[in-house]
Amino acid sequence: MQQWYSPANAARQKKRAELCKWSMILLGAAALAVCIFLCTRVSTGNAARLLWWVAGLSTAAGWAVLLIAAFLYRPLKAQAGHIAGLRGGETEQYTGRLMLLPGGFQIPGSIVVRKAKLVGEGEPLTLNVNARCVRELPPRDALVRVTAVRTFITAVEVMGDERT
Amino acid sequence: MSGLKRLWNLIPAMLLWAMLSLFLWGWIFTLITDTEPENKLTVFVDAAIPDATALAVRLEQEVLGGQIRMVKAHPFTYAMLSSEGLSRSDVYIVRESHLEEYREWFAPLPEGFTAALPALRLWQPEGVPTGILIWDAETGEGAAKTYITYSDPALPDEDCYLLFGAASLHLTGNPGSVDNAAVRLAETLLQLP
Repeated sequence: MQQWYSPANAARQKKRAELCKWSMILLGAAALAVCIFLCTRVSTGNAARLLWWVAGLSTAAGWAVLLIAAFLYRPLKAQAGHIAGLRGGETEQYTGRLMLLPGGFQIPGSIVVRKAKLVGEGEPLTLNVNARCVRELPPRDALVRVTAVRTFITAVEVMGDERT
Repeated sequence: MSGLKRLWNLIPAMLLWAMLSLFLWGWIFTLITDTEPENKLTVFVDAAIPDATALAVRLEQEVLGGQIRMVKAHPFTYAMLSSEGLSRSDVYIVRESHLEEYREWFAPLPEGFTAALPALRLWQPEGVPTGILIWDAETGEGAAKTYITYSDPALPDEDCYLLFGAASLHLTGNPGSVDNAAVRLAETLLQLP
Protein backbone atom coordinates (compact mmCIF):
# COMPACT_ATOMS: atom_id res chain seq x y z
CA MET A 1 0.00 0.00 0.00
CA GLN A 2 2.91 2.32 0.73
CA GLN A 3 4.20 1.58 -2.74
CA TRP A 4 0.79 2.38 -4.21
CA TYR A 5 0.87 5.85 -2.67
CA SER A 6 4.49 6.46 -3.68
CA PRO A 7 5.40 9.32 -6.05
CA ALA A 8 6.76 6.76 -8.51
CA ASN A 9 3.40 4.99 -8.67
CA ALA A 10 1.56 8.29 -9.04
CA ALA A 11 3.76 9.12 -12.02
CA ARG A 12 3.24 5.60 -13.45
CA GLN A 13 -0.56 5.84 -13.17
CA LYS A 14 -0.49 9.27 -14.80
CA LYS A 15 1.70 7.99 -17.64
CA ARG A 16 -0.61 5.02 -18.26
CA ALA A 17 -3.62 7.34 -18.28
CA GLU A 18 -1.88 9.51 -20.89
CA LEU A 19 -1.09 6.42 -22.94
CA CYS A 20 -4.76 5.38 -22.82
CA LYS A 21 -5.85 8.87 -23.82
CA TRP A 22 -3.57 8.86 -26.86
CA SER A 23 -4.65 5.31 -27.75
CA MET A 24 -8.26 6.48 -27.80
CA ILE A 25 -7.41 9.53 -29.88
CA LEU A 26 -5.38 7.43 -32.34
CA LEU A 27 -8.08 4.77 -32.57
CA GLY A 28 -10.76 7.38 -33.24
CA ALA A 29 -8.61 9.23 -35.77
CA ALA A 30 -7.64 6.01 -37.58
CA ALA A 31 -11.27 4.89 -37.81
CA LEU A 32 -12.29 8.32 -39.08
CA ALA A 33 -9.49 8.30 -41.67
CA VAL A 34 -10.59 4.86 -42.94
CA CYS A 35 -14.22 6.00 -43.07
CA ILE A 36 -13.26 9.12 -45.06
CA PHE A 37 -11.13 6.99 -47.40
CA LEU A 38 -14.06 4.62 -47.97
CA CYS A 39 -16.31 7.63 -48.65
CA THR A 40 -14.00 8.63 -51.49
CA ARG A 41 -14.53 5.18 -53.04
CA VAL A 42 -18.34 5.34 -53.06
CA SER A 43 -20.13 4.64 -56.31
CA THR A 44 -23.73 3.80 -57.20
CA GLY A 45 -22.95 0.10 -57.15
CA ASN A 46 -21.18 -0.11 -53.78
CA ALA A 47 -22.86 2.69 -51.80
CA ALA A 48 -25.19 0.46 -49.77
CA ARG A 49 -22.42 -2.02 -48.92
CA LEU A 50 -19.91 0.70 -48.05
CA LEU A 51 -22.44 2.48 -45.86
CA TRP A 52 -22.73 -0.64 -43.69
CA TRP A 53 -18.95 -0.97 -43.56
CA VAL A 54 -18.43 2.66 -42.62
CA ALA A 55 -21.24 2.74 -40.05
CA GLY A 56 -20.01 -0.58 -38.60
CA LEU A 57 -16.41 0.59 -38.38
CA SER A 58 -17.36 3.89 -36.82
CA THR A 59 -19.63 2.13 -34.31
CA ALA A 60 -16.97 -0.44 -33.39
CA ALA A 61 -14.30 2.23 -32.97
CA GLY A 62 -16.65 4.33 -30.82
CA TRP A 63 -17.45 1.31 -28.65
CA ALA A 64 -13.76 0.50 -28.28
CA VAL A 65 -13.08 4.08 -27.18
CA LEU A 66 -15.97 3.94 -24.68
CA LEU A 67 -14.69 0.65 -23.25
CA ILE A 68 -11.11 1.90 -22.97
CA ALA A 69 -12.35 5.09 -21.34
CA ALA A 70 -14.54 3.26 -18.83
CA PHE A 71 -12.26 0.36 -17.96
CA LEU A 72 -8.76 1.82 -18.31
CA TYR A 73 -8.51 5.56 -18.76
CA ARG A 74 -10.93 6.80 -16.11
CA PRO A 75 -9.78 4.40 -13.35
CA LEU A 76 -6.12 5.23 -14.07
CA LYS A 77 -6.83 8.94 -14.11
CA ALA A 78 -8.86 8.66 -10.91
CA GLN A 79 -6.06 6.78 -9.13
CA ALA A 80 -3.43 9.25 -10.35
CA GLY A 81 -5.56 12.18 -9.19
CA HIS A 82 -6.32 10.55 -5.87
CA ILE A 83 -2.66 9.75 -5.14
CA ALA A 84 -1.56 13.22 -6.20
CA GLY A 85 -4.28 14.75 -4.02
CA LEU A 86 -3.09 12.93 -0.91
CA ARG A 87 0.61 13.54 -1.45
CA GLY A 88 2.00 16.26 0.77
CA GLY A 89 -1.04 16.07 3.08
CA GLU A 90 -0.70 15.85 6.82
CA THR A 91 -0.18 12.24 7.94
CA GLU A 92 -1.64 10.78 11.07
CA GLN A 93 -0.94 7.43 12.69
CA TYR A 94 -3.34 5.26 14.64
CA THR A 95 -3.01 1.85 16.29
CA GLY A 96 -5.70 -0.77 16.68
CA ARG A 97 -7.53 -3.59 14.92
CA LEU A 98 -8.79 -2.79 11.46
CA MET A 99 -12.15 -4.07 10.23
CA LEU A 100 -13.28 -3.55 6.69
CA LEU A 101 -16.96 -2.55 6.56
CA PRO A 102 -19.32 -3.98 3.95
CA GLY A 103 -20.25 -2.01 0.84
CA GLY A 104 -18.49 0.84 -0.81
CA PHE A 105 -19.12 3.85 -2.98
CA GLN A 106 -17.56 5.76 -5.80
CA ILE A 107 -16.52 9.36 -5.36
CA PRO A 108 -17.95 10.99 -8.50
CA GLY A 109 -15.19 11.19 -11.09
CA SER A 110 -12.72 9.55 -8.73
CA ILE A 111 -11.91 6.27 -7.01
CA VAL A 112 -14.09 3.61 -5.38
CA VAL A 113 -13.86 3.85 -1.63
CA ARG A 114 -14.41 1.26 1.10
CA LYS A 115 -14.97 2.17 4.75
CA ALA A 116 -12.95 0.56 7.54
CA LYS A 117 -13.30 0.77 11.30
CA LEU A 118 -10.22 0.97 13.47
CA VAL A 119 -10.86 -0.19 17.03
CA GLY A 120 -8.11 0.97 19.33
CA GLU A 121 -7.81 2.27 22.83
CA GLY A 122 -10.11 5.22 22.42
CA GLU A 123 -13.24 5.77 20.34
CA PRO A 124 -13.42 3.60 17.17
CA LEU A 125 -12.34 5.50 14.08
CA THR A 126 -13.93 5.24 10.65
CA LEU A 127 -11.35 5.53 7.89
CA ASN A 128 -11.46 5.32 4.10
CA VAL A 129 -9.65 2.70 2.04
CA ASN A 130 -8.93 2.91 -1.66
CA ALA A 131 -10.85 -0.13 -3.00
CA ARG A 132 -7.85 -0.89 -5.20
CA CYS A 133 -5.79 -1.52 -2.02
CA VAL A 134 -8.28 -3.64 -0.07
CA ARG A 135 -6.46 -6.87 -0.97
CA GLU A 136 -3.35 -5.55 0.70
CA LEU A 137 -4.99 -5.08 4.11
CA PRO A 138 -3.89 -7.42 6.91
CA PRO A 139 -6.19 -10.10 8.40
CA ARG A 140 -9.13 -8.84 10.47
CA ASP A 141 -7.73 -9.63 13.93
CA ALA A 142 -4.21 -8.32 13.39
CA LEU A 143 -3.03 -5.42 15.49
CA VAL A 144 -1.97 -2.72 13.08
CA ARG A 145 -0.49 0.73 12.88
CA VAL A 146 -2.31 2.75 10.26
CA THR A 147 -1.00 5.81 8.46
CA ALA A 148 -3.72 8.03 7.07
CA VAL A 149 -3.91 11.26 5.13
CA ARG A 150 -7.22 13.11 5.37
CA THR A 151 -8.91 9.90 6.62
CA PHE A 152 -7.53 7.84 3.69
CA ILE A 153 -5.36 4.92 4.73
CA THR A 154 -2.05 5.18 2.89
CA ALA A 155 -0.05 2.55 4.81
CA VAL A 156 -0.76 -0.33 7.17
CA GLU A 157 1.84 -2.06 9.33
CA VAL A 158 1.09 -5.20 11.26
CA MET A 159 2.68 -4.61 14.60
CA GLY A 160 6.00 -6.47 14.57
CA ASP A 161 5.58 -7.41 10.91
CA GLU A 162 5.57 -4.59 8.39
CA ARG A 163 3.10 -5.10 5.53
CA THR A 164 3.26 -2.89 2.53
CA MET B 1 -18.10 -1.17 -8.92
CA SER B 2 -17.87 -4.53 -10.64
CA GLY B 3 -16.79 -4.76 -14.27
CA LEU B 4 -20.14 -6.19 -15.27
CA LYS B 5 -22.03 -3.28 -13.67
CA ARG B 6 -19.70 -0.79 -15.34
CA LEU B 7 -20.34 -2.51 -18.68
CA TRP B 8 -24.10 -2.45 -18.03
CA ASN B 9 -23.91 1.28 -17.34
CA LEU B 10 -22.14 1.77 -20.66
CA ILE B 11 -24.84 0.07 -22.74
CA PRO B 12 -27.06 3.19 -23.21
CA ALA B 13 -24.04 5.19 -24.41
CA MET B 14 -23.03 2.36 -26.76
CA LEU B 15 -26.54 2.09 -28.21
CA LEU B 16 -26.75 5.86 -28.60
CA TRP B 17 -23.38 5.89 -30.37
CA ALA B 18 -24.46 3.08 -32.73
CA MET B 19 -27.63 5.00 -33.68
CA LEU B 20 -25.78 8.28 -34.03
CA SER B 21 -23.15 6.63 -36.19
CA LEU B 22 -25.72 5.05 -38.47
CA PHE B 23 -27.72 8.28 -38.89
CA LEU B 24 -24.63 10.45 -39.37
CA TRP B 25 -23.04 8.19 -42.01
CA GLY B 26 -26.42 7.60 -43.64
CA TRP B 27 -26.80 11.36 -44.00
CA ILE B 28 -23.25 11.77 -45.34
CA PHE B 29 -23.79 8.94 -47.84
CA THR B 30 -27.05 10.54 -48.95
CA LEU B 31 -25.09 13.72 -49.65
CA ILE B 32 -22.26 12.03 -51.52
CA THR B 33 -24.43 9.65 -53.51
CA ASP B 34 -26.63 12.38 -54.88
CA THR B 35 -25.99 15.38 -57.06
CA GLU B 36 -27.75 18.24 -58.81
CA PRO B 37 -30.40 17.38 -61.43
CA GLU B 38 -28.05 18.78 -64.09
CA ASN B 39 -25.55 16.03 -63.30
CA LYS B 40 -27.77 13.00 -62.97
CA LEU B 41 -30.34 11.05 -64.91
CA THR B 42 -33.36 9.67 -63.13
CA VAL B 43 -35.75 6.96 -64.23
CA PHE B 44 -38.92 6.26 -62.27
CA VAL B 45 -40.64 2.96 -62.91
CA ASP B 46 -44.31 2.26 -62.18
CA ALA B 47 -43.42 -1.33 -61.27
CA ALA B 48 -41.16 -3.17 -58.87
CA ILE B 49 -37.38 -3.00 -59.34
CA PRO B 50 -35.93 -5.87 -57.31
CA ASP B 51 -32.40 -4.48 -57.54
CA ALA B 52 -32.51 -0.79 -58.37
CA THR B 53 -28.75 -0.48 -57.81
CA ALA B 54 -28.00 -3.11 -60.45
CA LEU B 55 -30.23 -1.29 -62.95
CA ALA B 56 -28.61 2.07 -62.17
CA VAL B 57 -25.10 0.61 -62.47
CA ARG B 58 -26.02 -1.04 -65.80
CA LEU B 59 -27.40 2.25 -67.14
CA GLU B 60 -24.36 4.17 -65.86
CA GLN B 61 -22.13 1.92 -67.98
CA GLU B 62 -23.78 3.38 -71.06
CA VAL B 63 -24.68 6.96 -70.24
CA LEU B 64 -22.01 8.37 -67.88
CA GLY B 65 -19.93 11.12 -69.38
CA GLY B 66 -20.19 14.79 -70.10
CA GLN B 67 -22.23 16.37 -67.35
CA ILE B 68 -23.79 13.09 -66.26
CA ARG B 69 -22.14 11.72 -63.13
CA MET B 70 -24.77 9.25 -61.95
CA VAL B 71 -28.02 7.47 -62.78
CA LYS B 72 -30.82 6.91 -60.29
CA ALA B 73 -33.47 4.25 -60.81
CA HIS B 74 -36.46 4.18 -58.50
CA PRO B 75 -39.88 2.53 -58.38
CA PHE B 76 -42.81 4.94 -58.04
CA THR B 77 -43.23 3.80 -54.41
CA TYR B 78 -39.88 5.49 -53.65
CA ALA B 79 -41.66 8.83 -54.02
CA MET B 80 -44.59 7.99 -51.76
CA LEU B 81 -43.87 10.88 -49.37
CA SER B 82 -43.29 13.53 -52.01
CA SER B 83 -43.97 13.62 -55.71
CA GLU B 84 -41.46 16.46 -56.25
CA GLY B 85 -38.65 14.15 -57.44
CA LEU B 86 -41.09 11.97 -59.33
CA SER B 87 -42.50 14.87 -61.34
CA ARG B 88 -38.99 15.99 -62.35
CA SER B 89 -37.78 12.59 -63.56
CA ASP B 90 -35.98 12.35 -66.93
CA VAL B 91 -37.52 9.08 -68.05
CA TYR B 92 -40.59 7.15 -66.92
CA ILE B 93 -41.84 3.65 -67.37
CA VAL B 94 -45.56 3.71 -66.64
CA ARG B 95 -48.39 1.18 -66.70
CA GLU B 96 -50.96 1.89 -69.39
CA SER B 97 -53.80 2.49 -66.92
CA HIS B 98 -51.79 5.21 -65.17
CA LEU B 99 -50.74 7.13 -68.28
CA GLU B 100 -53.61 9.61 -68.18
CA GLU B 101 -53.13 10.22 -64.45
CA TYR B 102 -49.51 11.39 -64.91
CA ARG B 103 -49.95 12.83 -68.39
CA GLU B 104 -48.86 16.38 -67.51
CA TRP B 105 -45.41 15.09 -66.46
CA PHE B 106 -44.65 13.69 -69.92
CA ALA B 107 -42.98 15.38 -72.87
CA PRO B 108 -43.63 14.35 -76.48
CA LEU B 109 -41.18 11.81 -77.83
CA PRO B 110 -38.17 13.56 -79.41
CA GLU B 111 -38.24 13.75 -83.17
CA GLY B 112 -36.48 10.85 -84.80
CA PHE B 113 -36.52 8.79 -81.60
CA THR B 114 -38.96 6.29 -83.02
CA ALA B 115 -37.24 6.11 -86.40
CA ALA B 116 -34.90 3.40 -85.16
CA LEU B 117 -37.76 1.54 -83.47
CA PRO B 118 -40.57 1.47 -86.03
CA ALA B 119 -42.05 -1.79 -84.83
CA LEU B 120 -42.86 -0.57 -81.35
CA ARG B 121 -46.35 0.60 -80.49
CA LEU B 122 -46.76 4.21 -79.42
CA TRP B 123 -49.02 5.95 -76.96
CA GLN B 124 -50.31 9.02 -78.75
CA PRO B 125 -52.72 11.17 -76.73
CA GLU B 126 -54.41 13.62 -79.11
CA GLY B 127 -52.19 12.30 -81.87
CA VAL B 128 -48.92 13.39 -80.23
CA PRO B 129 -46.44 10.49 -79.89
CA THR B 130 -45.60 10.57 -76.18
CA GLY B 131 -44.87 7.03 -75.02
CA ILE B 132 -43.27 4.00 -76.57
CA LEU B 133 -44.18 0.45 -75.61
CA ILE B 134 -41.48 -1.13 -73.46
CA TRP B 135 -43.39 -4.17 -72.21
CA ASP B 136 -46.18 -6.03 -73.96
CA ALA B 137 -48.40 -7.72 -71.40
CA GLU B 138 -50.01 -10.02 -73.96
CA THR B 139 -46.79 -11.62 -75.17
CA GLY B 140 -44.80 -11.01 -71.99
CA GLU B 141 -42.05 -9.56 -74.15
CA GLY B 142 -40.25 -6.33 -73.47
CA ALA B 143 -37.04 -4.58 -72.53
CA ALA B 144 -35.21 -4.58 -69.18
CA LYS B 145 -37.16 -7.59 -67.95
CA THR B 146 -34.06 -8.70 -66.03
CA TYR B 147 -34.25 -5.57 -63.91
CA ILE B 148 -37.94 -4.67 -63.78
CA THR B 149 -40.79 -6.88 -62.57
CA TYR B 150 -43.59 -5.71 -64.85
CA SER B 151 -46.05 -8.35 -63.68
CA ASP B 152 -47.51 -7.53 -60.30
CA PRO B 153 -49.52 -10.38 -58.76
CA ALA B 154 -51.78 -7.81 -57.09
CA LEU B 155 -52.61 -6.03 -60.37
CA PRO B 156 -53.84 -7.17 -63.78
CA ASP B 157 -51.07 -7.46 -66.36
CA GLU B 158 -50.99 -4.45 -68.65
CA ASP B 159 -48.66 -2.84 -71.17
CA CYS B 160 -45.97 -0.48 -69.93
CA TYR B 161 -44.71 2.56 -71.84
CA LEU B 162 -41.45 4.46 -71.75
CA LEU B 163 -41.88 8.24 -71.62
CA PHE B 164 -39.76 11.36 -71.28
CA GLY B 165 -40.17 13.91 -68.49
CA ALA B 166 -41.54 17.35 -69.36
CA ALA B 167 -39.39 18.83 -66.56
CA SER B 168 -36.24 16.90 -67.52
CA LEU B 169 -33.10 19.00 -67.94
CA HIS B 170 -31.68 16.33 -70.20
CA LEU B 171 -34.10 16.52 -73.11
CA THR B 172 -33.52 19.02 -75.88
CA GLY B 173 -36.53 21.29 -76.20
CA ASN B 174 -37.42 21.28 -72.51
CA PRO B 175 -37.04 24.59 -70.62
CA GLY B 176 -33.53 24.88 -69.12
CA SER B 177 -32.32 21.79 -70.93
CA VAL B 178 -28.56 21.20 -70.65
CA ASP B 179 -28.16 18.18 -72.93
CA ASN B 180 -30.03 15.34 -74.60
CA ALA B 181 -28.83 12.53 -72.32
CA ALA B 182 -32.36 11.35 -71.52
CA VAL B 183 -32.59 10.02 -75.07
CA ARG B 184 -29.42 7.99 -74.57
CA LEU B 185 -30.87 6.67 -71.31
CA ALA B 186 -34.14 5.69 -73.00
CA GLU B 187 -32.32 3.98 -75.87
CA THR B 188 -30.22 2.01 -73.37
CA LEU B 189 -33.33 0.99 -71.42
CA LEU B 190 -35.02 -0.23 -74.59
CA GLN B 191 -32.00 -2.39 -75.41
CA LEU B 192 -31.59 -4.00 -71.99
CA PRO B 193 -32.43 -7.70 -71.82
